[in-house]
Amino acid sequence: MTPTSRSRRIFWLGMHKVLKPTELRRLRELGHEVFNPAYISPIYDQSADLRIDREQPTTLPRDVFNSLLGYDFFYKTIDPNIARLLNEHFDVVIVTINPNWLKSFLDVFQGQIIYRTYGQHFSISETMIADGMWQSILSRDNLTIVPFAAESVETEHRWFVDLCSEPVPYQISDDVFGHALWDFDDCAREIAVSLPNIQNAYYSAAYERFSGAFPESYFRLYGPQRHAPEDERIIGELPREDFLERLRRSAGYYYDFRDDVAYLPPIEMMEMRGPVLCAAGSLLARFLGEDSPNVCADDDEAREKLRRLVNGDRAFAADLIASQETTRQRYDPAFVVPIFDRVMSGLLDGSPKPAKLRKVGPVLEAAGVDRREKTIAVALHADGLFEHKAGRPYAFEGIPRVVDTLVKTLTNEPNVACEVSCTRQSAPVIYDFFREQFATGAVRLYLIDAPQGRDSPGALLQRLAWVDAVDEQSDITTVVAPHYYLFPELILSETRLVLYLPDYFPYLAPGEVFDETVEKDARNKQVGLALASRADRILTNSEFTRAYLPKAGFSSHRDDPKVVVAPLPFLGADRALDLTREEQNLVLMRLAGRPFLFYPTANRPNKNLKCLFEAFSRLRLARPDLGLAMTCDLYSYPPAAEAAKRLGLLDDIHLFPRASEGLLRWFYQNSVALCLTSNLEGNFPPQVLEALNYGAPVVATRLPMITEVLGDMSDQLLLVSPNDAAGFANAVEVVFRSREMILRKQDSVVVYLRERTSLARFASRMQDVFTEMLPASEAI
Amino acid sequence: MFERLKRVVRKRARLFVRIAPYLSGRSSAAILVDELYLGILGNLGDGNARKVTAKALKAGQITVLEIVQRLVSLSEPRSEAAQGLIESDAREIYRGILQRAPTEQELRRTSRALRSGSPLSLVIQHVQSSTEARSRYFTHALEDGGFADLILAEARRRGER
Repeated sequence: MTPTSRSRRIFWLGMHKVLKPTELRRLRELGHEVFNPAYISPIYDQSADLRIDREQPTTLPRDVFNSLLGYDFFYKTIDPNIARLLNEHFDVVIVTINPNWLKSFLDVFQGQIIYRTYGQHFSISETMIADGMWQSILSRDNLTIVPFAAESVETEHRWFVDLCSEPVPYQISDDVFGHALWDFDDCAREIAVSLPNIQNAYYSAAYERFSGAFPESYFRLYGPQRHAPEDERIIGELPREDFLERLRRSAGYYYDFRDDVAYLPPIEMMEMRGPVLCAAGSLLARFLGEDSPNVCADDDEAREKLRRLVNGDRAFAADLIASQETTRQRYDPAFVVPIFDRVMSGLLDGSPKPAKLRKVGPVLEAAGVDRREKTIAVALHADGLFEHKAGRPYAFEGIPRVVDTLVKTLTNEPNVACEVSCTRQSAPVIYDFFREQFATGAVRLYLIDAPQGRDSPGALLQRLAWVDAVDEQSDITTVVAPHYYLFPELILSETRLVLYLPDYFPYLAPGEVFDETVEKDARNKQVGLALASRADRILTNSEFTRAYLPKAGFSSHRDDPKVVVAPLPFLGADRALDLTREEQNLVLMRLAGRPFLFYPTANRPNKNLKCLFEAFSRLRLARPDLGLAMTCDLYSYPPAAEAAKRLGLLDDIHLFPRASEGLLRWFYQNSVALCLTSNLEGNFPPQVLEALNYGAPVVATRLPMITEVLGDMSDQLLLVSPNDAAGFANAVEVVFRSREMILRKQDSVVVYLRERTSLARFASRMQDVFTEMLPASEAI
Repeated sequence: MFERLKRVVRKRARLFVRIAPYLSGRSSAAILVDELYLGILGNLGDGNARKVTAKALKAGQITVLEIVQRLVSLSEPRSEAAQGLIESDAREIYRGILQRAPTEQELRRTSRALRSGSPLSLVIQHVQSSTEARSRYFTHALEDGGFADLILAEARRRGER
């Protein structure tokens, strides 16, 4: 035992049968005084130890002890008198398992909080956001999350992971270690399964799935039940010793859960050196390794492996036992306790951890960081532009990707910060997206804090208040409207305004409706014109757009100095991470190694998907395994869906909406070619830039946007006349035959475009847009 | 129309007995008009309209019979509506205005009001003036570009100033 340097009085909020005799006991062994309240909640939990420990060691005054022991702390808000006792008598609160229990303590306890997690079948970070805990967690000093495995927080949001300590595994209870070991020659023809509390919705679904897939009579289902279904295989709860003995005498154990939880019975079986099988995709399977013989890819494989155990395949059982050894060790006290001691002592003895953010009025900013001299406000309080996927924050659509580049460019200036407005719903994901810049003070958030979305009456008043704040805050020198109609309130702002206007499609395609109705399009244009008229600078990306803006009414003449052209740099590369497990499974399941064409685009009339599908259909005559990967929804422009249906392609077009940057990169790098059939673009198509940078052959319509930028170099790409499906099919055939040659030809274009679209070049153009940025000469 | 008027007049016989003393008394015209309103409509209605009616009666520009005829024509649809407005109609009011079903308490209150003869317009006005309805109207008005319209109007106003 290694006692800590100072003893703390800890309020340990837990009730689990395994945790009380392990972690709670260990904290006391480390020299701390630990109070454990009674689980007197009416909410049934099959894992709860319901005994009330009146004899626990304590130096609390007797009346305080009695008050706390008689109070229900689970699933409840905490009474002010009890809160006062907690703050007066405890240095630290350790909350185990449930984020809902944590919430009550966040509300009332001022001291250090440690939140100990063990893996859940839901996202804890998303639950915390849904319960309104995000701000209070991040703005709190001295809060640490102690996860039990890195794998168990892999898909939690980044802000959650940032609050995590080194993972601390947890151990199985001591009684397993004294129990006799599994013996191949002393087994019943039974397979043990744990399925407790089948009345509970989660376990009920697990039971339905299991019993639907596995009707075999050799299963024995263990665990406490309140009202179990008619199933002779259900044994229910046994005295602990009896359960361990039944487990030991089973031919094997089968674990059928598939989520990020690791229940302990299979580990107990491992500790008794009995063979364990589990379903692929579970946390246990990840511990074992997906290639482990213990992991069953599907129900058929599970059935086959289980049959081998029941029929007494000695060699197979030995293989399983050998393969599961490293997983068993994860829960062995010899491995767990030293880590537990080191991490917990570090947290209990260490200096307080500062909060991640502080709230100043509606502004969220990094705690303990000085503000920069100048601020550029960026309007981004629109929902749906960002999203967490598998715990990572992603930007979708053009606007946030451009804002990302703008923020990156502007905040490279050491005296410039960006204040990004966001809604309550999007604040956590925008925080995560900019969290590195946030931590340095380069980015802060202005919160439109209304519960019912950006268009609710409360939010509209706050949006007007935001305009006032922008105008009144002396450090805000410029405000950016990154869209021409989403932020009409900026018409009323008196601060220097930059409008980002990459294109205006209603001018280019006058017969089309872009926002549901002609009336909406007209209103949107009014807003856009008013913003353009108010703007000090209009930022656009091509000379082509600059040329038609006067005719569309957005600028006074072609050489209007307020219009600045800055070709967009290659966006998103920094954000492209390795594929998540879900993404890997997704592409494996959908494309399964097939060759495929790729066109990431929204489904709009100008994208000419009908032509793409006709080319694809022609190609499939000779290449029936060819697939097509897209990122749109086919039915958002029904003629595209009708064309796909008419050509019988619906089963071979694979849609991956809201694909992450990492997934986009994977598609480019693994596709036969980018096949861009659009016949109208407002700028140089970013897909061509991305394909070239990621090494995908480009087959594209010969668009003026491309030929104007590339000039003679256009011939280095496979460009096809608009609407020429046969031409597209032929060009793709060329790629199939001569891929390497095509990629070599593209190289010179890649070099040219990299220079033309470099971030440095973009930054230099920004000096004409943002007066906050130093001219190049002064910067040197 | 005249037949129906006669039926109403017969039903109101007791009322006419009560108002008879006033028929020749020009100074009592206002009292008479009030009685007619109460007797036929069940409420005093618009005060201004009563004042104008009483003035016209006093000046000999309108007869009592014409007043009765006019009030009955107002009363018929109200009365028909009141007859028909049972609980299902109360539910319709809530669905139509608040796009939700009424609570038990709201249903009881609204049905009672309608049964006791409150004009339909008054009941609707009551629901429309609730905080919930006002919030809905405000939200609807500002959704779908209404906020942008407001901003554009404000910008124009500032420009003119």
